[in-house]
Amino acid sequence: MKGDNAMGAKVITIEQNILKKNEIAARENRELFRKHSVLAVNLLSSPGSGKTTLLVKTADYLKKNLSVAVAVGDLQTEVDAERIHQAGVPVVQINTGTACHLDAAMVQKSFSHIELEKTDILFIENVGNLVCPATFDLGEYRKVVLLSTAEGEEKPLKYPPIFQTADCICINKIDLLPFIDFNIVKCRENLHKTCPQALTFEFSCKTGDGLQNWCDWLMHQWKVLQDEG
Amino acid sequence: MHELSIVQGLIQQVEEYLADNNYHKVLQIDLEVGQLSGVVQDALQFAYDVCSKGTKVDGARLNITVVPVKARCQTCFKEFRVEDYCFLCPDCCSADLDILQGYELKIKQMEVDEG
Repeated sequence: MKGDNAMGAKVITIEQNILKKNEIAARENRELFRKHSVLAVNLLSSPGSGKTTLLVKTADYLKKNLSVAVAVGDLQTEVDAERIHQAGVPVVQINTGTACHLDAAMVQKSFSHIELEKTDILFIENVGNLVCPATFDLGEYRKVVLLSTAEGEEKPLKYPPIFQTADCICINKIDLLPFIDFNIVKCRENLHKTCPQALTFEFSCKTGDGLQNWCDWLMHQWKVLQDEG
Repeated sequence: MHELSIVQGLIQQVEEYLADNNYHKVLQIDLEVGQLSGVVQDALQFAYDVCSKGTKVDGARLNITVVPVKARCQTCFKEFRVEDYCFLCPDCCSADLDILQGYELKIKQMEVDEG
């Protein structure tokens, strides 16, 4: 309470998060993931960076050791889900309709189609967008931002909130480097400035170069999660 | 344009607060929006103007205060304002920072009419 203002009018201190509902749903997700020891990874990028290809390749690398499942967010279509399904990975499509991001409640609804108790890693492929998804906690254990060399090295400077909160940044399509003007040294500098906290991996989903390090990191994250109990 | 869904949540939250506390009407809503919240002030205001029509908050003024990013260096303990989204200590260049503010997305206070 801050006291009266005019006749009948009163100023009240609230101090309440506007995303309270999302915060609650995200907490529930986090608890559920922890209960089933699922490493939940929120994967974010612009459209066309190669999220779906990365997931297909990653699932292939990890399948000997871990069971992978994917929840894919898209405004429309099931094209991405179909590609992942074709690769033999359990997948659920979340169509967001007109929403430009996934929120924790949308992810929650997908749980009826995923066997969390049989899943080691759940990738949540967010809607291709570097702005809106940054604001919504999904209850993930790790947040990964994927960037591709086709996009330009200044992306981290243009979209700081999403990079700033990432645990890991992946630079995809490094096989294109000899053919394009992407300055990877400048990109590393920009990442170091905007998100020095994040680990960086550089790879090509097409050739497979560098993917082993990324998969080793995922394996390590999964082990850390198991140790945390 | 995620500001639209954020504003819808905001309006619902304010309406619930008014109902729970038997307030007649809200006159002003003061928000704090951090520079790292990923929310654009103008888009939020625009969405509010559109979405508040016909709801219990219709007519209430939305005041938005943008909260700059501040951090504390964990190496030399300097506290500073983060400029141009450069998350390195300006004194010792350490990347080991504690973000003190900048993620806010909250209702700070409201002015209500007790009727």
